[in-house]
Amino acid sequence: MNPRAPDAEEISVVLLGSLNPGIFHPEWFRRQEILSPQDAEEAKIKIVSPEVTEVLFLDMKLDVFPNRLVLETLDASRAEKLEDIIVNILSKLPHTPITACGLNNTIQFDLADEEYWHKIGHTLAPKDLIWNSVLEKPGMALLSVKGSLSGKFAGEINVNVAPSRKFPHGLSVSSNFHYLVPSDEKGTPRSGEVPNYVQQMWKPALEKARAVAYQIFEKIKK
Amino acid sequence: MSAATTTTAPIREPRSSFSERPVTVRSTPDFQFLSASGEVTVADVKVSNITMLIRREPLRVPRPLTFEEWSRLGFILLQKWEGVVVESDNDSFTAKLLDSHGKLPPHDATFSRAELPKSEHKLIEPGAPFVWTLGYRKIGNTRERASVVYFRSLPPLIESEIATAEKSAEDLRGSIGWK
Repeated sequence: MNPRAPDAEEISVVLLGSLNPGIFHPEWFRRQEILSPQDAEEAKIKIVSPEVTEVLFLDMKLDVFPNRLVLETLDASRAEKLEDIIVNILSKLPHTPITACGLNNTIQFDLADEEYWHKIGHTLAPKDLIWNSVLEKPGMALLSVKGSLSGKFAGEINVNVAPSRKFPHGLSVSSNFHYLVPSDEKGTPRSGEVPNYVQQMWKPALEKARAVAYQIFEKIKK
Repeated sequence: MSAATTTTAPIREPRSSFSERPVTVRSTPDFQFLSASGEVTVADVKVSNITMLIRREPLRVPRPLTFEEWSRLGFILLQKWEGVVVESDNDSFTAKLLDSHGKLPPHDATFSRAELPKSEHKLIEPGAPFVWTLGYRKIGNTRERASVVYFRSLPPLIESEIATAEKSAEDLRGSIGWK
């Protein structure tokens, strides 16, 4: 059984490519039946323009730039809702070139134990070999580890472990499943692969940060 | 790597933190071209009345950061079930539930239709997939138990996906040896 549930969680999808921010208006989502009329009505528009769009709906935040789309939520209960919206956006815009897709999950634990917090940092980034001799009070600010993702959707997994920005003695673990969309012989990205990638890798992507965190708690005891 | 090539999540600052850390914003050029290396070439007609290409970095301006201002509530996820409707009537629906993390055995459960907003009632039909999450809803410094049910709304399968699924099923059946 897992030792504990994260005290905070963030989920986001990042798409890179060639995008038209101006179309991502709540009315477009309603017409495409991605949002219900009521959800579209309740959406908050900060800006919708050809250069940048920022819209809030369903406790999610959508940012779109000409080369980047980010849909994120701090409400973990809506994870699959977010997945569905991304898949629907992609299916409604099949000719939009998407060059890369990232599935991101950040979980935070309020350890409320300074000694244990330091122990985790000192174990993951030992100070004796290098740091104690060159720095005063060295502390781990960020540990970033990259792994490869093999199989049909080859890519990379980036994992960051860092002190939490939210809790004084908290731990933040984030994972990024980065998929570089392959191109065809003409150099056009095979964007049609992206919805399949999102759907097939969603669960593993959301479980990775937890797997790392529970491994840390398992191997580094109080 | 630059932000133009990474797909990592946005970085946040703590709630109510006012920071002078600059954020990158784009100007409103008339045209802009993005090279493969991420370099932006901007053609700004309206400010100079010339159409000569200029190269410049995106503007960086300080502003207060307001973490989570867009999100009303956080959620501590304790358990997630993936459900499929088996049958339904006017008041309720019965479903098969699978533990999303694969740790608990499957369950059957009956839900009141009142668990869902009226606009989603039309989605309740045999075979329809949904998600049921249990956890704590965070409201400021307090928590309350929460149960959230919503139906999946994925686009319908296209013909090539159906053909691929049928081929996979055929291959699987062949490998098992069923007749």
